[in-house]
Amino acid sequence: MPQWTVEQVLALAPDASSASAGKDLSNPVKWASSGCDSRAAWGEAKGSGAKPYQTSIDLAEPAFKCTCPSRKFPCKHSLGLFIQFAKGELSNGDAPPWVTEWLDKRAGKAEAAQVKKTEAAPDPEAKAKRSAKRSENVLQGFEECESFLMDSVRQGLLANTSDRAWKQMAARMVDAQAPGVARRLLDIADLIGVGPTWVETVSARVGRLYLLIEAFRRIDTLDADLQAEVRTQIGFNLKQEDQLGAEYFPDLWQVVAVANEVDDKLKIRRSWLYGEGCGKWAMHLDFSVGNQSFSYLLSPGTAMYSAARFFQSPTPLRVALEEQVGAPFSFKKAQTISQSISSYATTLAKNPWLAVYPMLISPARLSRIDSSWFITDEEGLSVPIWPGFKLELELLAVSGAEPCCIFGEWDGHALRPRSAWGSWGFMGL
Amino acid sequence: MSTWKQLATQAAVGTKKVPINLDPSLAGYGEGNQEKQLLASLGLSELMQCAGFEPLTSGPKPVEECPKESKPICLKAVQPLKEAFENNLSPAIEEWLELAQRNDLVAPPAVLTLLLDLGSKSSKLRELVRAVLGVRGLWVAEKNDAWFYVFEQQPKVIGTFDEFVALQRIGHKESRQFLTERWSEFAIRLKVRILQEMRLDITVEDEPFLEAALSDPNKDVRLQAAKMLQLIPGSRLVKHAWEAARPCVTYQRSLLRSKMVIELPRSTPELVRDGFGDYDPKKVKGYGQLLLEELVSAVPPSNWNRELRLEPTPMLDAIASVAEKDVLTKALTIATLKYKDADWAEALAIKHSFERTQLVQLLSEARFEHVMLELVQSASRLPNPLESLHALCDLGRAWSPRASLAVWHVLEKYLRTQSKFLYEGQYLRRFPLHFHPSVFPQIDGAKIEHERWPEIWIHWAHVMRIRTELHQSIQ
Repeated sequence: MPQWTVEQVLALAPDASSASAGKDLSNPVKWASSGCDSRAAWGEAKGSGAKPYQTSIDLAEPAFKCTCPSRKFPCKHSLGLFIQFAKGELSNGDAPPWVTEWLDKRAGKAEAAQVKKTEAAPDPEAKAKRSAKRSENVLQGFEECESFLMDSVRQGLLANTSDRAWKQMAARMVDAQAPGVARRLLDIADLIGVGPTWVETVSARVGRLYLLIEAFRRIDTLDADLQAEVRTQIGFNLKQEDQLGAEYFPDLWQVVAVANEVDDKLKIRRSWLYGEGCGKWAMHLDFSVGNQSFSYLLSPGTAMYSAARFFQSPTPLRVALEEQVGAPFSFKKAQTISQSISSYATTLAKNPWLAVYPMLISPARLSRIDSSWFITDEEGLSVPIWPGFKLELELLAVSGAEPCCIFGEWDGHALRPRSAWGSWGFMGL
Repeated sequence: MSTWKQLATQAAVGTKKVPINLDPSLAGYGEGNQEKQLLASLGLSELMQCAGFEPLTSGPKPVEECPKESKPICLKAVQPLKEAFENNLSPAIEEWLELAQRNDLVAPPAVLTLLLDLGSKSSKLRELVRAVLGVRGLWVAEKNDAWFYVFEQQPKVIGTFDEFVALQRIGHKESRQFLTERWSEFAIRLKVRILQEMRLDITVEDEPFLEAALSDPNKDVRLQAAKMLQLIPGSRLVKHAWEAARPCVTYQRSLLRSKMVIELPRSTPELVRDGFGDYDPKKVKGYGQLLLEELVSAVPPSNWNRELRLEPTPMLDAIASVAEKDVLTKALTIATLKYKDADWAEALAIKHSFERTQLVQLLSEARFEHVMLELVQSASRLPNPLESLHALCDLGRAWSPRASLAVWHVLEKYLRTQSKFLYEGQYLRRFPLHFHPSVFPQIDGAKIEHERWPEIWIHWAHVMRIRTELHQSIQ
């Protein structure tokens, strides 16, 4: 059974108010009864109903169940109970019948799902047919998208500064089953007319998008890894098992940074990891919809023992993680800007659609020219900080401008800092 | 112009207007189609730009390291302070700032920018923020123009008024010498503004200057000078006002029923010169009451205690039965605030709500506790004490443990009788920010069937936890 920390439990909260309410409910006086065993934790919380809410946690996953009416998941009662468990405040005992019943039901369901999975072997012929149909749809859509891009540069990007046409084309790409291209078009729509250098930014994005369309047209001429990358970029949803490489990397993975993004109702969590033994950078993606919590507990500034499998790509970064066991963060690695940039250039040559690249600068210092901020390494080289980043002063306040490790996402032009650590501790940015 | 710039310009203008002119290394792409050539070239050129990025070798200047902190840093306060900021619990933050200042502690680095932002938004809290910044905070503040208030020792001298204010901060003597030398040059509006500003450091030494200003050709200047003279206890003007006011208020003692008798004053040229009743009696309704208010508010309220041989509370009781009770209460409140009379402040704060927040600021801890207990007792007699108890949250002073318990007991008793949640939620939310933390263990939402107000009690528990942690961080 993994060891949980309060921070890890709080990272499961669907929002800040749930985390806060969970902390308040971690007070044992708010519980009529509670306990735990090797499989589960349970408790009866005093609530607004006539009967107390019955809360149970399956510690193996973890999975939660609570009889309260909250739509948030996990609810504040589950979080409050889990915090008590993490603190070791729950006494061991025999699970009450409502807990064992739930656990047995879950075990039954998992078994049934496994049987279904093994029984339902895919029909390779039907699969190939579906894939060919999808490719045809995408290619048809790309004909229209290419004409649209050509028309845009024929008329000139300055001729039409409305984002409407770009959004319409994005909607067309969704119909053509190319959601990855649709996302790129929406990104371009958001950049039209924004800032003094928008024409250059949009030109760059348009150029890369065109290369992606061209690559898909010639996909048969590409090697297998690049084919997989192009399909991923276009938005082909393949089964995770089909995309994963065969090799496992059991290692001590340092969780260097976690970046949260929201795309409509979908929350995306991008965690950056570094394998101590293999010396590889890895990125783990986790998704959640609405008020649901993320499936993985990766807190920045912690570490874990886990076996990672990289997704197929010419420049493997994305990983799937096996069971994790927590460990303290202890990341010490010196890296200069020139080493990072050179590594980025090599990677970009293999994968032209690389959006962001993990960059560590250590030891690093914050520097500035007027109001523009930079990160400078021990060789005196500097890279600009992404202009949308607003936490330079927080970092200065905490670090006191002492040389430290700064980790960020490099996009080829600027670095977006995601975390920093030094003698003063760890800071997520 | 670089290849990339040329391509971006071409994409901006359009191939329709300017035919494409590509670098030979890129001309092979796009199957001879101009637009395809341009699109492919844009993509490739952007990739080359990224791959060939060259870091800056000079220019950016690393920020110098912060000097060492000399005072102890209150590191335990990081989490509760962050939570207090997230939940907009300004009174809790202010309370912590006061505690930290009293204990000579420095705010932890992780919350310095939050505190500096707070100070830039609230001028009231600037002094407190400044006191806990420490070496690190001042060093960070230097890096942001919005936080320059931290270093504002002297305001910038922009014009004559600012010059006066600046000199006022240096010393009374300097600012008054400046006035004597330059007064005749000033325009009317400036004279009025400067006279108003004198209230901050007025002393008996200003009387001759203000007496002279009473003869100014401009009425506004005269009026303002008179108002300022009213602020000088023992000035000729105050004595004059007392002489006029004294016969208006008398207390007739008898064995059966003593009573207050009010006779409204009449205007005289001398009073008008001193700025009292300077309006046409025929045109102004309630002229006598207005003049009475002006006179009573100009004299120290303790004069009445001596004159009528009455303590403030019995005098307020006696006033309650006269027709001019509102006028007199208002005038006595103004006089109390002007002369900072704690006895009167205590009596008025218990009896009336007018300017209560200002009045209680004049009281010692013990006297404030007494006022609180009296007000809680009055509230307890009401069918719904919630609104009156809630008004205590606006007094702007820390509640003592005893006062907090008194409030809690009345509140608890009232909430027990309520069967459902109505509008009370809005009133209930503020209390945990004001209770003294030492009484938190005695406040248990469950005691009063918290099922009816689950959200409120969670909020209470949350605020009480944050405040407890903030207090513990100081120890």
